[in-house]
Amino acid sequence: MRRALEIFAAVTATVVVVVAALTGDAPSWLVVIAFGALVMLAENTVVFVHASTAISPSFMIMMAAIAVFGPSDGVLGAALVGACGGLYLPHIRSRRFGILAFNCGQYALSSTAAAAVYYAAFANPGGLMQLLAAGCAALAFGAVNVSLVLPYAAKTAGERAGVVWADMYRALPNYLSWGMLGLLVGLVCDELGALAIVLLAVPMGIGRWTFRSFSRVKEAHDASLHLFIRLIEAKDPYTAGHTERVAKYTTYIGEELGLAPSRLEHLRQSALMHDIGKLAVPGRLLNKPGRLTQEEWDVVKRHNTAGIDILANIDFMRTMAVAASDAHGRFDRGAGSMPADLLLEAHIVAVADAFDAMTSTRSYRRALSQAIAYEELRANAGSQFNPECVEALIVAIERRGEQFGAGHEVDAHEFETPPPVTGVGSAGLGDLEATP
Amino acid sequence: MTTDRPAVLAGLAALAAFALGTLAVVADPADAALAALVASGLLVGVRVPWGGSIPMGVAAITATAALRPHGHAAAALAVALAVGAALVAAGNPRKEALTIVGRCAGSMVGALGATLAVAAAVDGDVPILASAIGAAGGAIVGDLALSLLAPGDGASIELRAALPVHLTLACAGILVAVAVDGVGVAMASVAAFPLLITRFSFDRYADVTDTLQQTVQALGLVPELAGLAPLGHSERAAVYAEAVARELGLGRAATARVVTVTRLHHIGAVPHDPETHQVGTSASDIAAVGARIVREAGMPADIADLLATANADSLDAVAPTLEAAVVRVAATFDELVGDDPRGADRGLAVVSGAARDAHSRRAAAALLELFAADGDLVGDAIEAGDRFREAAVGLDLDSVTAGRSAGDILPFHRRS
Repeated sequence: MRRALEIFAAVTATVVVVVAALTGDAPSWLVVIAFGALVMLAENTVVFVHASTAISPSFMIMMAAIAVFGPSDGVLGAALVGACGGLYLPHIRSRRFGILAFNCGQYALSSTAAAAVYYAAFANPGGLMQLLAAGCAALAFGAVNVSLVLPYAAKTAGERAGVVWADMYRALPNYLSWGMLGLLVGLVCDELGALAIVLLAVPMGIGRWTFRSFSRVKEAHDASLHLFIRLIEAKDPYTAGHTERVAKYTTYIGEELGLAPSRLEHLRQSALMHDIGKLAVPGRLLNKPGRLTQEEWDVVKRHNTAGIDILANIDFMRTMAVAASDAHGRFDRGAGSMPADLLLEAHIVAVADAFDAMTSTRSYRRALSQAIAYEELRANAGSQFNPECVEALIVAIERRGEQFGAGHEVDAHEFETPPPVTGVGSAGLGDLEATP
Repeated sequence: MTTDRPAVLAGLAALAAFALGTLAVVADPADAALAALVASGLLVGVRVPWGGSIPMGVAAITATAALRPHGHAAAALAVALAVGAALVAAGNPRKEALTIVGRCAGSMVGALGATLAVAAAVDGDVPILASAIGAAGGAIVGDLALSLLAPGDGASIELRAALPVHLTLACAGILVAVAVDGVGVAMASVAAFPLLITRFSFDRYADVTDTLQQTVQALGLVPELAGLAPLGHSERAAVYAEAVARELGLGRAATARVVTVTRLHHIGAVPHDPETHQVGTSASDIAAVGARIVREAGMPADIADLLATANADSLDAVAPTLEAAVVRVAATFDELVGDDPRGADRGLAVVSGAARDAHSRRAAAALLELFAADGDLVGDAIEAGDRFREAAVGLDLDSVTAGRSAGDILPFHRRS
């Protein structure tokens, strides 16, 4: 299959070059060599950045070449310049001739298609027609490029074409605009000369630099969130693994409710942070074996709320803190002035938190069975819990056929005095609640 | 004063339409179109990392100055400035609006001045490329000159951080000017694409930088919630650290690093391991443990290194770098002063007296300098710390650590 694609691309490209050479004029060899060298240079210096921001400078240079050539010599010129795009040095060094032939062929064909469309659609220069022609040319390049590369890349990576496409299609608007920009630069090449390259290279270089800085800071931010979560977990070792599990359940519910990926990410972060209030709770109370007295429970509750309130003074933390707050998690408490999506997040976290609290062993009672946890969630749906979230969680767990709770606990904590078997917990800190 | 914002905006839009219409009649429709482009470009800023922004209109200013005859360009830019100023003022706080408009005026004067200079230097027809490059350079110089003059910190930018944004805008402006001249307006519009991508990527970068700083701010609160440091300490120390770093002329990246590490300087005292509950106990321990957990969490190595060397709570140690000295001076000063401004003089005396090495002396001198120049730094810091205190009213955060003796954990200079 791969071999067939390689032969097809190389042979078709050769045929196109021969036909173009026989029917059209010969392009200026100086221009072909100059642009070909630039394309090769660009192809060999580019580092893959990111699917949605990847910019292929070689593609822009091929488009610029099309504008520099004319209709009579352009098809052959475009094919030759395009073919240089396949000359990737590491491939040459490792003698991977198959992939070399494929890339030279597919770039030559894409570039030829763009040139043909541009010259055909663009009869008289100037005006909107030119803009339209440029857009069509960039699309033609993309269409040929994708239809050849997609099956090839899918075969190489051993993935379905659909998966590869899902990665690729986001980049298409960028490709369209960068392609048109390449043509524009080609059109003003006479006036700009070598400066044209500077005008293209500077914004692209800066774009790459920005993306790399962004990635670095994003990594640092993920790390600082990770540290935060670690500090929360260290505060309350009995619930080690608890936040991770709650995050898993919230993701189940969020996916079941069809939330967008960016919201799922925020939801997951909020779930991981949902115990931030505990940072302000005296450790001896959090880790006290057995039930708390009413007085101790009041202290816990007050400190928990204050901890959340203190952190909520920070903008970014506020959206996290909402999900942590018991007041917002209760379904029948109403929205108040809260934005609807944050309220839903709080509801989701409350259900996930309660489910995990019931299905894990705590200092005052053993884990309950999954069936009892379901029952308890359903019994309080509509009052304490958002019924949609409850059903979403149950559906998601049942579909996966997973088992949690008594007899199925992962990394359950060993207690010095075994907790009693009875008792039904409820959400979050309700877990620590004094005798009802 | 209560104003009806939509009504104000509608009025401004009508005025803008009138001004542009007049320009189209007395001068040229092209001038009106360019003026509209510049004016709307003033409203959209590309955010510069570490603060401030540059209006995308700078690219349009370059194109206008390069493409139109000087008189027309001046008229178009003047109208654009008037229209843009009204719209910017409607949407921004007064001080920021003033800075934005002032800087745009600077770019306009710079761009026009540069094209005039190019025209004077060249005999006969000026090539469009020469005047476009001149205009772009003039616009950058004008903007930077005005942003250096800009009062306060609100919309000011740092030269090094702003340069990439400026260069991108300049390239787009030059390309638009040359393309309009050589190919036509329709095709030239393509040159605006990179601007949109630039705006998106710089925005995303600035966003994540802000979020990181806020998460670090929250991390700085963790030891305070745990009763290991007085509430507001990390926030106040961060204010001092930033001021001293600025006073010493550290760049934005270094300043951000110093502020981050100042906020995190007690993190090593927080139990972080659910198994061992291990904590740092002496000052150098806290620094070492803090650096280790920060590094283990995957934060950048420069943060961890500075945290390790800053040794923020020990006055006796030698500061290996200026950044470390700034962290230590800021943290120690706040430990001495806390939320009582009357402690400032004593704090200054102790910090200056304890400075043993060149770096610490420079940092302490910068702090003294700051007090000589602006007496209310302590007031600002206390205000910054106080915003967390309201939520903590009635709590005994010291009790959070009860069971361990808090006094053993930190060599803290608590005020009696």
